[in-house]
Amino acid sequence: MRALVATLFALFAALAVWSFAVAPAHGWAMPENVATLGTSVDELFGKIQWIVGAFFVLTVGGLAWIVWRSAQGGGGARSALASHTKLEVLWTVVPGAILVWLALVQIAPWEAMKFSSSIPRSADGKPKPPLCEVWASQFDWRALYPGADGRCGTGDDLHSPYELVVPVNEPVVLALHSRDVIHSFFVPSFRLKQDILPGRETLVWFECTKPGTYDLLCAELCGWGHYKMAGSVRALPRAEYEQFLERKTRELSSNGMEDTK
Amino acid sequence: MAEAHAIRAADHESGPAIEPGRLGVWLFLGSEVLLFAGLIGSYLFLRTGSREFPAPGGELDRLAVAFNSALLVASSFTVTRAVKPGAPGRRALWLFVTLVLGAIFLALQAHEYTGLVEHGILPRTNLYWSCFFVLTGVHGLHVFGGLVALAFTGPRAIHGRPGIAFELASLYWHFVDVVWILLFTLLYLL
Amino acid sequence: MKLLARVFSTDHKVIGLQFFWSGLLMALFGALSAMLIRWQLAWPWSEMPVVGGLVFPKSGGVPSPEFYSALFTFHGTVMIFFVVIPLLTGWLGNYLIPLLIGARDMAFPVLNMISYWIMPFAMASLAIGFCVEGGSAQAGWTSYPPLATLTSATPGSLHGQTWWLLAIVLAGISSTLGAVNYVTTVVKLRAKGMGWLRMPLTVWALFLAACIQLAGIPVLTSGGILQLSDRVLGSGFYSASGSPLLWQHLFWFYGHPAVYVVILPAMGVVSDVLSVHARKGVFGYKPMVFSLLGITLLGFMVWAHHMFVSGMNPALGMAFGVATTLIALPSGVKVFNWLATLWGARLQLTSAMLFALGFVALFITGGLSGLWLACTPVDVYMHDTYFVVAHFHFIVFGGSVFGLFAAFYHWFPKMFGRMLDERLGRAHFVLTFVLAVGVFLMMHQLGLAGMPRRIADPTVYPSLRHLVPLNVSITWCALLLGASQVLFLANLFWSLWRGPRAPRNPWKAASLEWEADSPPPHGNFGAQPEVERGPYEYDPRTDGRDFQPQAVTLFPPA
Repeated sequence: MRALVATLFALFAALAVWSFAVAPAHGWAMPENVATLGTSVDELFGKIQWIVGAFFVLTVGGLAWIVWRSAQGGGGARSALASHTKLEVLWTVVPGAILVWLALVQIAPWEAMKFSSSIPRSADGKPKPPLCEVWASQFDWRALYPGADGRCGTGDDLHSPYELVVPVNEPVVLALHSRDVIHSFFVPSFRLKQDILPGRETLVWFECTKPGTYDLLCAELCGWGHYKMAGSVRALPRAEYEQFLERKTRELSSNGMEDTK
Repeated sequence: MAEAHAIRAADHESGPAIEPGRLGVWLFLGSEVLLFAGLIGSYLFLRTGSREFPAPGGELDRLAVAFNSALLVASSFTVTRAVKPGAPGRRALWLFVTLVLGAIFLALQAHEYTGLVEHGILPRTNLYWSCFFVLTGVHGLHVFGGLVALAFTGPRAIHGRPGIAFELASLYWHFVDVVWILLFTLLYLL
Repeated sequence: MKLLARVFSTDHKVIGLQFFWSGLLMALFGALSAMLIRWQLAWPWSEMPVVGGLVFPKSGGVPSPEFYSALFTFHGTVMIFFVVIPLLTGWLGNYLIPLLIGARDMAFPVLNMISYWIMPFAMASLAIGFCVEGGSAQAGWTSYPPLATLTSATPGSLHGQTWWLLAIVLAGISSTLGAVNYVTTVVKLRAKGMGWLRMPLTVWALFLAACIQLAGIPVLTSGGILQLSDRVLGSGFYSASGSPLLWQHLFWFYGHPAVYVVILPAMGVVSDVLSVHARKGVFGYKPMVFSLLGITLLGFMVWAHHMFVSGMNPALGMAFGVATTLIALPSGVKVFNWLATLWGARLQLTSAMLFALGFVALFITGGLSGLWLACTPVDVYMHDTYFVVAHFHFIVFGGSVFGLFAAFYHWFPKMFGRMLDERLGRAHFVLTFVLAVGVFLMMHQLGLAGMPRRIADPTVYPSLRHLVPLNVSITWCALLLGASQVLFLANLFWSLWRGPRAPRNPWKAASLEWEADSPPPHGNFGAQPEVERGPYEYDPRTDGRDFQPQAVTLFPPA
């Protein structure tokens, strides 16, 4: 039994390490990061992975080793030590220092992601206006680009259902809205997630660094159809983005009758 | 039912000098404080945090409610007289007065509710009235509970049964009174 | 009349066992719902075995998406509020506190009886939810409004949600009454000589868990009252013009400390079980007590880490992120002390010991994965993905449930006066450990790959389609994990009637409960015990026995 249990724990430790080590090769890790702010997330993730890995192997491996080494049968313990002040201090202070460090290094990236003072600025130094409004409702996504008047909510908005189109390699600000319940705007490839509360505007910002189409998911339970609230984000070079807007404008003026494909 | 085991102090660690019953009631009051802290905190959170918090209109009859509040405060004094050792007849009278004051408080609160409803004011009217009805309503239930507790424990204590149940019920009654003063200030006066 | 006296007993041991049996019943439903959830995730929209034909005869047994939502809502609610909390505090708290501190009963036996008999009403409201139009609640065990308050938002919000709220408020009242009792009992009824620092860690943990409940539940109840008012009276606390975030604060103010309500007692149990079966005192008793206290206090300062992406003020998020990172420290101290307790000891690998060791391994895993989640920028990605599901199942299943199993195997002889079958128990451990790892370990990877929780069909998203084999293997493990609990049930029922009679102190443990008969009579102890020393005196050098009972031994050593 002793050997079995020790092996069980050792195997578990090995399996857990393996599952994280091989994750990227099997598509079990975070998808490739294609946003500027995502870099700091991946770096933090990597640092924590080393800390977690070291403590995990030390403790679970240690447990397996202790079980393996333990003598069986009657009699008492070889070591009846009940406490040891130096040891207690050691294993309080060392993890404590690591945790304080961890608590501190997360502050700057968090500020860059969520503090309104970090909203990207345009050339004139003012916070960039939202590129478009993203409206979430049960169970779809809809991007609303301002028309000729430069404002949303007027008659000439350009609608892009299920697909958000953004220019690549430049900071983008989005204004998130919900029509009904709480939704959450989640683009794994951008490391971006933000709940959308009904009745208020929520701003998010990112800069996509690679053209392509990325999944947009709803990450907050929003009703029976939550699972199918799928959308996508298409990142295009500036020129193609302008073409997209032009096509949308033509679509609007043609009253949807003309084939725009 | 098997006989209960009498708790003999000599069998136990001395611990803090407080009867188990009294400690239990204080713990319970502590959790009641947190219940009202949650409700009152929510009210303040909404009042300060939401974009437009509607002000209560002229529908509130502050004078009448101030009178009603005075009745409840008075009942806190009368219940103290009922708890104090003394002639059973006098104590019974004070208990009766307390119960009547509490009952009048509830009746007037019900009257206030009906008046508001007749004016078409309901919890759904706006955020202020949501808070008003829920906070005063939950408090009203506590007043009712306090009355029941006093009515059950009072006569037994006055007839000389040993125990601190009546005293503890009066403690609860004071708590209900204090909460009301807070609610009155926050909901009617602010 | 005699039957009534038994059913509405005021004996803490009878009430404790009532919590045990009803918790076990609810665990059965919770486990079944878990397996159905896994079925849908592995083979979306295929015929559900057994249940499918009953619930969905029209679609040929294929579940509807709203049924899936009802399933995970039910699973979370039942497992937290009706299984682990009532088992750890109701069963263990009631049964063990008086015995371990040398009291004859709880401070308020009648209140104790009432606290149990509120639970059937709570369970009934949960069951009624399934029978009303629209079905039972579907807003998740967290029930965020406006999804939970707009009656048209999802079918379960029509009527089911109201019954859900009623169930939660009733269960909360039951827990609060219990907690008043536990705290008073520990403060006032410790046997002579049982100083605070002579209490077994199980008692410390149960005591602190009760303190958490006293402070937390009322706030959740206030939130429940507001949600009930929004649903029934049409008020607008959580509407878009009020504040949907308000509920999240009120919910998590207890919802997070509730995690400590279910992990602290398991930690206490494991400390005691490790010590007894390693024949060695708990290493660093005082640091253990202080870390329990630290977790209790810090536990109330971290609730908003569930809300990093909720839209609340990001400065708040930062403060809560820092506090959350620091709460790992006392848990870490406990882990090191457990390992030091085992160091150089002669382990007796009984079933109870095995589950306690398993607890340590799995709790470490769940605790460490929490470090990623405490880091706010990383949590932005992880929040509401399967990574979180993996994390909290390592804590609640690997932690609380393994702690419960350890307690079951350790105290069964005392509770029922019979010995369990050890071979069955060990087999139960091996299967449960292996399959639990099989179920929960790779959920981390699902989450890393971006799979959100609470979605009925991950194959909708192109980027998640390659996860199907992983989901299928997890589901197989989950089905087998459920099936392997037959070993536990068989052991329980067989031993209940056929197990060998248990001696008074089968494990040669030092704490007070082993001074009483197995099972203890009403009133627990023959003569009132007087405590002379701490609970962890294991030393082979004293008079032929390797342990010193806490009390003056009332009976000759067996």
